[in-house]
Amino acid sequence: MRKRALLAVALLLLAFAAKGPWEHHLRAQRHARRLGAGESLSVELRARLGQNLAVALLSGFRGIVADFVWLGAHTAWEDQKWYKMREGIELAVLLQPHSISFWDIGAWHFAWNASYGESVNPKYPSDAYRLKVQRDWILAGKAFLERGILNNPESWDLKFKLGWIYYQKLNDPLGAVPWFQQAEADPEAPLYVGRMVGHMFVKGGRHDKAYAWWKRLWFEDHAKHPEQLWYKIAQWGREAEEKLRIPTSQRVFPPVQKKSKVPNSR
Amino acid sequence: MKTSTPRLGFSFGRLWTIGRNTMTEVIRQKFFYILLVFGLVVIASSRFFAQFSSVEQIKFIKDFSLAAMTVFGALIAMVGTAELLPLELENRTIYPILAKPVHRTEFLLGKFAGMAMLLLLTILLMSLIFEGLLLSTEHQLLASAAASASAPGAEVSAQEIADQILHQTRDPALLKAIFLIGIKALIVCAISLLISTFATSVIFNVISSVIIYICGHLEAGARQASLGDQSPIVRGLMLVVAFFVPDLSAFNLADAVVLGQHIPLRLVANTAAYGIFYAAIALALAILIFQEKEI
Repeated sequence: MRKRALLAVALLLLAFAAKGPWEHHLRAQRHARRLGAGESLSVELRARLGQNLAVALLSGFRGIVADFVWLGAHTAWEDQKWYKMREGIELAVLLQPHSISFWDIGAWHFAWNASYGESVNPKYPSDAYRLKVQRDWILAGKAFLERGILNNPESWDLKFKLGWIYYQKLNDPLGAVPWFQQAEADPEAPLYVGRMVGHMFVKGGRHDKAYAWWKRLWFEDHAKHPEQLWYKIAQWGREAEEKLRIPTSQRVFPPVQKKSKVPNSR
Repeated sequence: MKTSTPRLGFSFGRLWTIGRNTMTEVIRQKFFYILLVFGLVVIASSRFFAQFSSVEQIKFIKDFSLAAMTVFGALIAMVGTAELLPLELENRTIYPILAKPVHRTEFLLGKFAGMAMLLLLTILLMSLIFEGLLLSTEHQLLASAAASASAPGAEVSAQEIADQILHQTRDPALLKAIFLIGIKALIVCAISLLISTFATSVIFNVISSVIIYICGHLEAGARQASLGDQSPIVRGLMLVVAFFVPDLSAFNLADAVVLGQHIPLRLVANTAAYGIFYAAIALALAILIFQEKEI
């Protein structure tokens, strides 16, 4: 009986020993896919989080901890405490660097909310200074999104939002084009991303490129994307033809009308 | 002349009976209802994020609900299992059972099966509420998306916005996260059952389970520390932790699911197999100790 028990214990010890390589294999798999494995809790991070959140983080609730930090940043935004908000947002993306929404909304807070808030801050000595601080926040938003893209190169969303900053906040629609094009190249990107490329060419005064772009979209398979705003593309294409004085015989787009007839294929 | 009693075969029928009774028994305990209600309240409370953007709202709901499922799944596994054996001994109900032709192995596995069924039921219930919550949020967000897309000057169609919302709310990958939460709870249940075979009090069992649960999330760190340049005592201690404690951080794929990261089915299956393997080791050890235990 004792012999059997000893044998059983030995077998169990062997089983415990076997779990080590298995765990290592699983960790390597998660690490290869950047699924949060191997992210240790540094002393600095522990100090920034505080005792309770650090314990929660250690217990495997990284998402919840990041959400609480984000809620703090949200409150700081409501109170217009921009630097506190920035600290919270930076901490949230440190905890969850693959959270697209944190990068996206964080950049929006910097480039839109904080920049506007500072542009009307009565405490600053002059308008020139206010403009400078406003610009700094816009650039902070841009730099933040660039870091987000480095962490999440597969995200069309962040590239799109970076293009949006170029367009809306830096008044550089042609600077936005490469980002919108990169975003559009992702098969998961919604169709409006592609339309934004054309708009940026128009806003940047490059009607020739805009026309080429509208044609590219127009000659895509209409049946494949029934939800595409084809009549709008036709309208914008027609406008470009007018602008570029394209001879009638060479025009591609049908006359403007809502829900215009579309070709069945290329 | 040497006489021998006929060898009693292992019976799944007896195991099933014990399992069913165990489940009924635990359901009758009031703490189970309190935990369940608490779990439901936490999941429902995640609705109070209406002032956030749709992306944030959905992320918060998923994060909070999955975390609540993890916490309450683990709590039910710990507290429910910790009480099983001591209660049987205290009420002396174990004696008539073991006096019958019932294997101790069947008894213990039956207890585990009962708890496993209960956990399955609990997680299923919480999942249904979670899904209901997501669908109701989706409904609200779609309505507001349709309104904003129909605003003059909108260059994005309602369908395009709706697709983005649906992509987040109807994510089949959530099932992978919930499945792994269930496996993690099963491991906790097996550990608690193992401790209850030698522990003398329920409190000791629960506290030990909580410590192992936390250590389980630090197992990877312990393994690293056991190879580092710490003192021999610390390294030895870390080695023991890494050797015996399961790597529970392997089951934390819920965050990745919420963030929309792709998790291959193969990894989920491999992680689940690891969890079942560990639970089997813990149960085998529990059976070994229980068979030697004087009752």
